[in-house]
Amino acid sequence: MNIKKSLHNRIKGWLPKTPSVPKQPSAPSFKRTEISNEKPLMDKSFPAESSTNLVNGIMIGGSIAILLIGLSLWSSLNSSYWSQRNFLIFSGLDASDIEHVLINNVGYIAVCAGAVVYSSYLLIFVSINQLNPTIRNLTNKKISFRLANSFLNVGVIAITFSVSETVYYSYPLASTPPPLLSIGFGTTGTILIVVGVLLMAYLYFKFGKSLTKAQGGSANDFAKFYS
Amino acid sequence: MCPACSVSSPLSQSQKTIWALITKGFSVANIAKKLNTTRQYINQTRLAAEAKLATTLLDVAQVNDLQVTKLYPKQAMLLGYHPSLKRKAIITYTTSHGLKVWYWHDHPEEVTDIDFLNQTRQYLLEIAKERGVEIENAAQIHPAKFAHMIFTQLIPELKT
Repeated sequence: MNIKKSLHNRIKGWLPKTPSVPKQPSAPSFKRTEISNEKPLMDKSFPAESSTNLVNGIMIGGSIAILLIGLSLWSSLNSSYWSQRNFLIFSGLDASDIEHVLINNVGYIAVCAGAVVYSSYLLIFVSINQLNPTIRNLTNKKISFRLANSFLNVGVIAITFSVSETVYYSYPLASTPPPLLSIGFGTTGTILIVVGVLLMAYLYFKFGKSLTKAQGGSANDFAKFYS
Repeated sequence: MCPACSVSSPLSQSQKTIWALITKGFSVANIAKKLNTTRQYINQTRLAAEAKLATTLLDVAQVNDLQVTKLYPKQAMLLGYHPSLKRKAIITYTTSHGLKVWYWHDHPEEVTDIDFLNQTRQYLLEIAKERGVEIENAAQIHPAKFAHMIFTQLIPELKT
């Protein structure tokens, strides 16, 4: 009886163990207070110096490309002027050859040039946006920067249209004024680009400094900027 | 996952509140009225909370090498089995104390750490309060037995 009683009273049950907490995947969230450690805003896949060099290279290369395209277009519009001066853009061809090629393909060249101009623009500015941490972060964080970017984009597209239209329609009769559509595009594009550049410059000088400072500065600077 | 959430406490504040009220037995309409919101919001929050809890319980079971026997999303409990230890295990959740893994002990009296036993009792009282389980003389019962009494009421499979 005693044995039965003692068995009946024996304690059996559940006791806890502190659960092992599964390791969480690193959160993609942005922690402000931890960002002020060394160059936190830099894209880790690009060392700072090489990314700067790359941006410079793209900018210089793009500028030269645009300059060459501009010269080609200009020479096509004023081929008689250049032929008089025996100006050779392409070695191995004389002025009359160039004139012949350009006259017969002016529309095509204009459209291609427009595409190249726009591509160069994208290459330069998008690359800067992506590789330059300050501008990239500003563009990501500030809606006004995106607006400025949009102004620039639409402006360049409009200018490209304008140039293409002007060249295409006015070349065969050099004295013919460019069509109204082209003037409209050109004017709109110019205004948009000017507004975009001014806005971008204003925002960069207003916010860029504080962000640049925050990159190498304290967490408070950074938090202040984003607050 | 919300910023304040963690694996041991996966619910947001609103999810905790609504889940706790539902577990206590309040109706959705009453909770909606009390919190000055809609029934739809309460139901959605409850479902989201249950889904989060279920995922967390399964994660914890996996990390602790438990074979899942049954999951009780509404009770936020999981019944499992540890093949190496050859013991049944239960994972529980309370809004105030978070998650805990329980193993079956044949000789719980061998555990003599007073602080540990007191903490366990507090946790069990919290579970009992949250789930609306009433146990008489809870203070005099050994926590292991107390746990068994609560769990058998919440998990029907333990009665057999």
